[in-house]
Formats: sequence, C-alpha cells, structure tokens
Amino acid sequence: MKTVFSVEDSLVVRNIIKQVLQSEGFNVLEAENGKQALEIINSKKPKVDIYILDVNMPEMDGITLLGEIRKFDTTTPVVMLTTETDKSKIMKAKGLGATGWIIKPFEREPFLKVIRMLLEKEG
Amino acid sequence: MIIDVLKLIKELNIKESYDEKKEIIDSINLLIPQINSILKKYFVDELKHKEKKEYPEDFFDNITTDKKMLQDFIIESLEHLERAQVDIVDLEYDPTNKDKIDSIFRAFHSIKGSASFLGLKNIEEVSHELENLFSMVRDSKLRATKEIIDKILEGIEFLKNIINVITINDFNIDKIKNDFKSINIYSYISEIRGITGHKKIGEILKEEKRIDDEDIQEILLEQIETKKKFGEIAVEKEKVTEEDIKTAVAKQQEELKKFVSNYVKVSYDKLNELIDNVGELVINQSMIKQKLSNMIKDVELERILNSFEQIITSMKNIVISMGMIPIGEIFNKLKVVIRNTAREVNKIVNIQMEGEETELDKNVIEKIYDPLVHIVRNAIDHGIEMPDEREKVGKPRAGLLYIGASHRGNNIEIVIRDDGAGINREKIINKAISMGLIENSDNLSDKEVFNFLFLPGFSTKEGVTNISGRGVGLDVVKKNIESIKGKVEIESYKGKGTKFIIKIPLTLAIIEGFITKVGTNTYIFPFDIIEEIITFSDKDVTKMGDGDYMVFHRGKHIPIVLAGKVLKEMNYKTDIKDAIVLVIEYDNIPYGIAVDSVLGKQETVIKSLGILFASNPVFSGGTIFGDGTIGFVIDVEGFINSVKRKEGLNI
Repeated sequence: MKTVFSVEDSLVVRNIIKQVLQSEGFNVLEAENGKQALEIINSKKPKVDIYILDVNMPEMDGITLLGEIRKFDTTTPVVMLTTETDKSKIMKAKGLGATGWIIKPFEREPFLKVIRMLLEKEG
Repeated sequence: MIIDVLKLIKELNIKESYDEKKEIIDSINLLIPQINSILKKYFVDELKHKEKKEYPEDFFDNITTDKKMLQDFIIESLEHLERAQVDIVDLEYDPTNKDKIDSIFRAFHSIKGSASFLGLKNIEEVSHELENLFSMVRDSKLRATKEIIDKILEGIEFLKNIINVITINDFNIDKIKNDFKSINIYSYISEIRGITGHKKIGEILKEEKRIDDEDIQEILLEQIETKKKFGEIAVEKEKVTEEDIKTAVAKQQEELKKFVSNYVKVSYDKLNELIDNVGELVINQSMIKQKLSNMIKDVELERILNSFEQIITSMKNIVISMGMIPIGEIFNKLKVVIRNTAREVNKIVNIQMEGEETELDKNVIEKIYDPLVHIVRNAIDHGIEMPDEREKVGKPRAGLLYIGASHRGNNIEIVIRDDGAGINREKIINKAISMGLIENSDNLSDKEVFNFLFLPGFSTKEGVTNISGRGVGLDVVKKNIESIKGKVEIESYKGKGTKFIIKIPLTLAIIEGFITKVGTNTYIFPFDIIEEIITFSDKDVTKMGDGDYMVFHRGKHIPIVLAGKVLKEMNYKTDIKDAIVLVIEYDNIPYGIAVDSVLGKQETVIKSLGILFASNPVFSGGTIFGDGTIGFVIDVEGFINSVKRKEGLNI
C-alpha cells in the first residue's frame, strides 16, 4: 500500500484529500503545517511514497518544508498544492525540487491522475 | 410571549457573536417553531442588498451535501474570521507587523480554498475579493487606512452572516440554497472592486482590442514558466508593440493613483513639532492683533487681522486633526474583548456603541485603550449578572454594555455603561471602614463612596477571578487616565447598573486658558474648569483662621484658596476684596482661587517644564509668550490636592 503524506492547514481540504485517497486504497498521513510535518518525519521516520504540500501554511509554509525534505530525501515525489493567486510560487518550488503541482480547487479524477502518474514515474 | 420573541429578534440585530446568535436562535426554536421562519426571513432580509444582480442559474448547484464537511468548514472559517478580526484591528497600530498581515491574508485565502471545494461559490467569491484587497495592503500597494480596514471588517461580518445561513437552516441544502439566492454578494464585491479596481495589464490590452482571450491564456502560461512580466512576453511574442504596453501601464497607474496618492507619510515627531510651531503662531497672532489694534484704529487693518486670525485658526485645527485618529478603532478591538470575556464567564452581553467617528490625539488613544479594557472586563465580570439571575429580577437574559464617545468642548467624553447589578455601596463602606479610611458613612455621597474604588489596594471582591483580578485595580485605570490629563468618575444605581465617565482633553498640546497674574509671575488656568470669575465685597466674605476665607455665593459656602500662598509667591494680594476669584468645581466641590488679576483668555501651547519642575504636581507645563515672558500652566487637580494637604483643608 502506498503512503501519501498530506500537509495542509485547512481541515476541509485535508479531509477531502484523505477521503479521495483512502477510497482508492492509499494510506494517508497528515500534518497541519510544515513544522508539524517535520516533527513527524523526524520522530516517526515514516516511509512516504509521495508528499502533498500546501504552499501557503502558518508556522512553516510548504516551500520551506519542501527545502527541508530535499535536504535528506531527493527522490520521493513532492506535489505542491496551490491556488490561482499563488501560482507565482510554483517556479520557486520547482527550483527546490518539487515534482509537480495541483491547483486548488481540484476535481477528484484529475487529482488522482497526477498522484498516480508521479508514483508510476518513480516506481 | 410574542412581544418577548420580538424583543429577542430585535436584540439579534445588534448581537455580535456566532455563539450568541445561535443560542438565541436555538432557544426560540424550542419556544415556538413557527417563529423560526420569521426569524430567518428577518435575518436574511438584513443581508439583502438593493442592487440586484442575479446569480447564474447553476451557481449553487455544486454545494456539497456532506454535513461533516460543512461542519468542519464552519468551525474552521469562523475561527479564521474571528482571528482576522482581532488581527486587523491590531494592524492599525502596528501596520507593518508581518505575522499579523500573513495571518489575515491566510484566513481569506484558506476560506476561499475550502469554500471552492464545497461548492460554496458565494463565500468563495467574497473571500476572493477580500484576499485581493488585502494582498494590496500586504504588498504596500494600498495603505491600511480606516476606510480600508472598515471595508475588510465589514466583509468579515458579511462572510460570517453568509456562513451562519448554513447552521440556521440546519444543513438542509435546499433551504440553504434558497437563502443564499436572496443574499446578494455583488454589491459588496463591486464596492471592493472600486478599491482594488486597477485592472490587470492583460485586461486593459483586451479592452483596447490589442489582444484576445486566447493570447492572454498563452501569455499567462508562459508567465508561469518564465516569471517574466506580462507585457514583456506580449512584446516578445509580437502580440503588441512596446508603445501599447506603455499606454496600458500608464492607464493602470492612473487608476491606482486614485487610492494611493491621497496620502503622504509624516513622522510623528515632525507632526508634533509642527503642532508646537502652529501653537506658537496662534499666540503670536493674537498678540499682534491685540497690540496693533490698540495702536492703530484702521478698518482695513482690522479686516486683514481678522482674516489672518481665521487662517491661523483653521490651520491650527487642521494640524491638530492630522495627529488624530477615530476612537472607533479601539471600539472595534473592545468588541472582541467583550465577546471573549462574556464567553469566559458564560454571560450573554449585547454591545451598543456610539460616536465611533469621534477623533482623538493618537497619543491619547494609545493610552486610553488599557483602561477601557479594564473597565469593560470589570463590567462583564462584576456588573452584568448571569442570565438566570437576570431573568429572576425581570431583566432580559442578555446584558447590555454601552460604549459611547462624544465631544464636550475641548474634551472627549467616553461613557461605559452596563445594565448589571450596580455597585454595592455598603460593601465599599465596610471595606473603607476596615481599612481605616473612614469611621462611618455619614454624609458620604455616592460619588465619594465610589471614589474609594480608585484607591490602590482597594478591592471588594472576595477572591480573584481570572477576568478582573490580576493585581491591577481601578487605581491603575485612574492613573493611566490622569497621565493624559483625563478624569474618571463612577455612577452606579443598585440593580440598574454602573456607568463610568471618562473625560479626556482633545489634545495635550494646546489649551485654552485664563492668563492670570499672581505676585510677580504669570499663571495659566485651563479655561474648561473655570465656572465663573467673580469679585467680592466685604459682606460676602468670612475670614477664617490662618488668613483663609470662606465666601457665600449662589447659596453655597465656597472655600477660597489664595493662589499666591499655594504658589509661594512673595507680593501677592492677600486681601480678598482686591483680588479676583476664579470659581472652579473639583470633585463636585466648588473652590474659589484668588489671583491678583486676570489678563485675558488665550490659547496656549503647553511645553514641558523640564526636570526642575517635573515633580511638582501643581504645574502641568509652561509656556512662552510672544514677548518672551514665561507662564506656568496650572494642573488643577495637583493644585487642589496640594492645598488639601498643606492646609489640612477638611473638605
């Protein structure tokens, strides 16, 4: 079973991601912000197959978290979640090693397609 | 019964928090289910705007039916909005606080994101506009003026109301859709667009028919990849000429200017210096006018002098108003304090506010906030009773807290009034007796009794609550208010409530005063406190021991204080028949202050007296007159207190 680590501050969006992914048989880990995610990564050292990071979060944003992840893990795919207004940050994320991005709000199917595509690419 | 319900509905109109609204709605629901539909109609009607723009047919078609998700959304969004409300008010005082700015921005951003997933398009669009508006503040394209902050606060309220529709309709999607359709978001959106209104370069180029939608799409895609400017790419791709871009940019700037160029930033120090200088100018002008019109009688000269005076007066008013900000800004912050305090102690409190537009010196506003918070928290914690208790004594379950500000001459009066239980006079008297302050309560007016509350270490509350007992008493409130030359008074009626009245001067820089001569020096008494100026003949005066006098005037015995004695002057008039008496009222007690002569009434710039006099409570400052002589500005409270102490005046 593939594990997805979803880091997103909005409870609503987090639950949507969880619902969609769990219904497709994914294992879902969650954190509310970058800081919390790093703590989980450092303490539990979970095996993650793909990260989904929201760009705009309190405490530590997704871009910073991406940089932190890439310090010890250069291969696991990282998908950035962003909105129309944050599109400008995509370039920065790409430079830091993001594998792809999804613009909110997303539909179920295209969202799953992106996740599957990136997982296959890695596999 | 019906009347009670109507009352509740009416209260609902001024209710603030979501919890309280919900509480009332719930209780009404229990009482008579039919009322619900009326209530809803009222509640929703309030949100209807005159301007009608129809929603597209399918606008609300995708609203999720997942109740759990909607519940999560409501909790999360209301939390975001509450915090944004507090942060945005704070921002007024700390406009560059990046954490606050980011947090507010994220609130709108997050709500927009969540709403878009749940198909709540109206909420999505309103928060999108708010996000846009606020991003301009964040990027320093727009200054967070009162107008902007008000618009954002209005938007926050609007969003809360829209969100509440979901709970009111108990998550019934059809009913929600119906109500949503009757709430027009477009007039608010168009107001916001009026501010954010500058169009994107692409939009302008499209309007000018230089490019079409397809071009825009193409350029935007490229923009994501290259991060180049829209115009740059458009020229590279030969969609438009450089000239076109220049024209479009100029057009964009023109629109932006409407909102940005109305302001210049001035340092507060410079402003204070300006106020100081203008004050001196006012004084010089009045000297010139006086001297010249005494020397030369000329109609033309008089006309010029009058218009000179008018110009300088209006200049003075403008300069003073430049350092002023409306008190409404701290009122908004107080609303949040009230709501949170009420929640902490499980009381229901309605808020009524008046005079938000009243302007005050920025220095004063900063100092008045803490005392107001203290008084407000006290009123909710000690004043307003628990809902059940209130019901028992025939009061509405919700307490009312009124906060109002108004102009009174050169002062601002702030009133904080609750409809709670009132202050227990007996309790204060007992405490005062146990502290050895008084022996009995004979002849003590309510005011004198309540004044004990302002003494350090005086608290009648057994045990401390989390709200008002933090080792800070009303003595600190009084001290803070006095530090800005203000006064505070309490009125309280048992069972009916308590009222705090705070009077503070409009500005600390200029006062209107009577110029008096005492001995060899010039002293200025603030104009506001003087009730009248009188002279006495023998028959009115009773001579007391120690060379003091008492006069009988307008049915009252007034103790006379010889100013020269208090001020330690040498050759002052000791015979009261030769002196002029300024009648003042302090703590509701009239006093007469005898001076040698009154030279006139004049506006005076107060300057600090420096360390030499800093510890002398009799003076609030000094001033320099046009001819170079120096005058001392009297601090009436310090003056009277020093009389009481030195003379042992038992009043």
